[in-house]
Amino acid sequence: MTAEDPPFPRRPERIMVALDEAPTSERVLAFACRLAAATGARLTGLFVEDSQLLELAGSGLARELGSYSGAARSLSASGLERALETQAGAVQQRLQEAARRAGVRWSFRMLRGPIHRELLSASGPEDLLILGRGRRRRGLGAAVRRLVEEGRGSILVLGPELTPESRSVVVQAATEDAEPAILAAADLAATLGGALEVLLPAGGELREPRLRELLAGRRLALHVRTLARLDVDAIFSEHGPRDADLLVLPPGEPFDRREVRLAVLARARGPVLLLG
Amino acid sequence: MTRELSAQELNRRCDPAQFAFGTTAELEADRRVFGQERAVSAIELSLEIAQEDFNLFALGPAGTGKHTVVGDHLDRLAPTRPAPSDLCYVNNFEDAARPSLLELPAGAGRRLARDMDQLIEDVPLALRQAFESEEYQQRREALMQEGRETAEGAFEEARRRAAEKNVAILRTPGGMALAPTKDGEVISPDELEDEQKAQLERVFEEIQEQLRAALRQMPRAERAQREKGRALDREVTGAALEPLFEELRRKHHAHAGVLSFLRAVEQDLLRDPHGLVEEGTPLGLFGSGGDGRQRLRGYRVNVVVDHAETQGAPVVHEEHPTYENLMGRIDHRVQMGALTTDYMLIRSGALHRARGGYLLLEAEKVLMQPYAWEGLKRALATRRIRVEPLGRALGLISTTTLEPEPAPLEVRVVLFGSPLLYYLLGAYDTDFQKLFKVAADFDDQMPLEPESRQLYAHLLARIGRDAHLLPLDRTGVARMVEESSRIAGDAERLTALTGRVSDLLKEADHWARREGGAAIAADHVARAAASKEARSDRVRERIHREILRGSIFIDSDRARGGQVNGLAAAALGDYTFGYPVRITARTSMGKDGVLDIEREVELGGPIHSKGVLILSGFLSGRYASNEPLSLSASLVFEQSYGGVEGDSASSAELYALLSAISGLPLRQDLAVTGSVDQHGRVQPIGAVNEKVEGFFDVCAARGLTGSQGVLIPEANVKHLMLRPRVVEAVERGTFHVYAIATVDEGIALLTGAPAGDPDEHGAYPEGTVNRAVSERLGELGRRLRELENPTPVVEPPAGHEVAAEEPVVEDWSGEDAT
Repeated sequence: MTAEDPPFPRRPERIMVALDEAPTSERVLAFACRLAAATGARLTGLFVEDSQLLELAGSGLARELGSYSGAARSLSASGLERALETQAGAVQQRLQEAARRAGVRWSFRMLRGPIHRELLSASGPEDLLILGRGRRRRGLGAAVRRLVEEGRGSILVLGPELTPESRSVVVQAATEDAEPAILAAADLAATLGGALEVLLPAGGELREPRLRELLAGRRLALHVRTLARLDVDAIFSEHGPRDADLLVLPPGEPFDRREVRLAVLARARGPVLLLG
Repeated sequence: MTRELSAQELNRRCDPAQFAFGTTAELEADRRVFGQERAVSAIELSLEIAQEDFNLFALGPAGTGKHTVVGDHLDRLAPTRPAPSDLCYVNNFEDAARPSLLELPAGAGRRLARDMDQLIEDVPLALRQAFESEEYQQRREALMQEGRETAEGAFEEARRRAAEKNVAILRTPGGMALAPTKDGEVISPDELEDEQKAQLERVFEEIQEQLRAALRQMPRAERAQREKGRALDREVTGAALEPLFEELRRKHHAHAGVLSFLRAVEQDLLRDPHGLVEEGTPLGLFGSGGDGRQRLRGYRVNVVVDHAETQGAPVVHEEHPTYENLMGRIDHRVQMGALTTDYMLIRSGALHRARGGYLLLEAEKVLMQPYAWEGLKRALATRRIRVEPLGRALGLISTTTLEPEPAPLEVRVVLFGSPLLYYLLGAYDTDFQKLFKVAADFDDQMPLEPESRQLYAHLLARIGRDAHLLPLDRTGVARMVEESSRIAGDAERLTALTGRVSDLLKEADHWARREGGAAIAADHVARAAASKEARSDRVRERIHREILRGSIFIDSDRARGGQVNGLAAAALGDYTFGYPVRITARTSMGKDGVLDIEREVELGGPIHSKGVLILSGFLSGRYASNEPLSLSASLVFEQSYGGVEGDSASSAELYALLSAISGLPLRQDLAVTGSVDQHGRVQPIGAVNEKVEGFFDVCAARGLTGSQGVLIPEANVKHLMLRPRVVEAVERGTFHVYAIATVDEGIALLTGAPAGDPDEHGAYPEGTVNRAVSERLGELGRRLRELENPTPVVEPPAGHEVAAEEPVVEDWSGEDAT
């Protein structure tokens, strides 16, 4: 990062991406590569061997149920470790190929422990942590929920409908404190080559003239939508973000409250960036 | 009665004054056919009759105008008949290996193909619009959400039940695992008491069973969701395509086959419409992708026969009638080293193109091409054209290929061929007569009558016009009539070999133009005829030269015993020439009869041998009716080193035999032609003109003596169309042509002695040829019997002596008797 480069959220130094063998992981990796290429950030792939699972496998009660066949079979610690290593190797290979295609610097770390804790400890406040969440889950998985609850930095959660074609960026902004978030969203919008839509709550401190002044000179298709009130229902009203839109939530009230963050994530089908 | 012919009898001149026109340019175009009434009648029947199997075989020698006459009839007839239907092959969506046939009115095939090409362009656009519509997207999303919720519901239930019992579901590399929890945190099972572990194990069992039930539901749920998705796709696709198909149905409503095809296309489109939206995807290296484009190709129409521009019934002349050119073929394209095909690569054959019209074929070419004849017969017999690779038709290969629906066949086939071919097919091919019921038998001659001379002038005018030649003046026409008779070999007939007439006319045109003439005159025709002879007569000239040089022994003066000048003719292509040959006979005592040396050495053909055997019949009948013929004689064509065929020299052979037996020499300044029967009648022969000219040319080259001439059968007089050089010599009295009817007339002329008629006892007068022959044969018979049955020795009475018989002179017929 150079002296001219603004600190994150506008220019992350590292992009940490949590990877596994899940189907969504492929698309998460593609999006992370695209973002890293656009921002010049270094990409680090994180693969966590779930210690709880390993511990379970060591006990006599462990059984694995086939995800397709439904057949139950014993789960040994050594067998699980081998399987996880194999997965990690495959994930690393995918990361290497994707990074080469995108032309980004990359590294890979294999961690062991509780998933959310390992991811939190691996990423700092100036990093951007990218996660994916499965399509079949109703609500959020335990790991994502814990990360959102406990995370200090910025976290980008890619929804089940994520596609690499995401173009529009929607940012909710209430106060002038949200200005860095607006600029970060504008950078992302420019990176993604799409439009920027700003949701301004009625009666908020930040007004449209100031907003336009802030974004003057940027080649963006800017849309401003006024929210009747500042809550989750208003954001996901009839004209709320579409599945392919990236929703950016600034730090501060009310989005630093974990129940609000979780509510937003529960409603969103598309990607959500929680700025720390 | 021997008759010396006048010059007028040697060449029937055609008087130019009988023609009323100045040149043939004044004659109107007249395409009437004359002299071929039989053939024309057959052609009319075959081409006009509605019944099937009345196909036509036009037989006749090459150049008799078979193609022209049939072509003229078809030029008049075909435009009056309706244009047949188009033939199209389309995809059979139920079985792609058996493409379906559409038979459409002329021009409709092309329109349908164009419309389907347009449809193929429109369908992806219409579908893309439909699938990108907000309505479709929302309904699809709702369906997917419903599916997800249905599938996840079961898992959620299991997860909820697990949470209630302090169990977490963890993801493993191969599936799911269950773990105990405490206050929402996963704990190690090792922290549990044994009893708790046992209880946990039961809980695990219960939850696992729930999960298994949820997993079992998944395929069903997914299937149900897919079916709902397909129903939605069908609904949206149907709505998107309906306007396109509505228009097509309106345009082609009159054709049930097209409507059925459109229904099949519509059904296929509904099968997987999403695949078609990807129509623009380029084909990958291994043919991946592009499935949509491939499917869209399957909606195209292959118009194998397009009659949009056809006026009347088609007339197809297939010059190269191979099996595939007749029956059609299935092409292949190379794709990544493999040969593939589809219905768009079906190609029509001549039979397809000639449906509803006429197909003209050269019989010999069809028979020369492997299995073309079999294929043609099968198509005509079954009235179906089945396009299949030859190897498959023969059962030699069984690789998967197309089996297009056969096309119905209604066609009139005209085969052109030689009479020999026609008769062979009739004799050996049982199907032939059933399929080709009409024969147009083209004669190579036509009668020469006053009216036909006028018609012939019209024919010459037409040939000249078609070939852009100068017109003929009256003398040219008259000379062409004479040449035509000469080609026919008959003064009372004209040749029907219009090809040869045309060639002669073209050459005459060349000479006329070279002289700057405005019309072809008699001289030009004469020059053309002479020029053609000169170009062709290398062999004749060589024989002629060797005779004059004395290498081939031919006497043209004096007289010799047992030797006569016969006349032979040789045909080299369309050029025939005559030349003299020396025929000799020798006799001896014996009972072998007449020995044909040519036959003994297998150089004599069967007809020649027959002629020689007839001589034995003649000799026995005339001279040995009361006792066996006691004679051994041999006959030979001297200096003949090739085959001898025909009986035209049998009279000459008989003269040589009679001379050899009787000892009477024969005149060598005469040459003889004519066959003979067992009663001694002289019968007509072929190529009489050339034979007479052959001997004349030898005599003329040596110098005409005034006594030289030729004996020809009386029945050949009508065939005489001799060249002017012979006619002029006869006119001057330096050469003679004698017409004879019997052997007696001939032998009298050749020996100078009368033949002699038998009296009431069968005895011939003294001094006649027959007397000499009869006596000699009688003497030979007595001698032979004496040798076979010697007289017993009887002591004669005293004083009586038996005179010793004179020794027999066996044969002196080879001696020079002059």
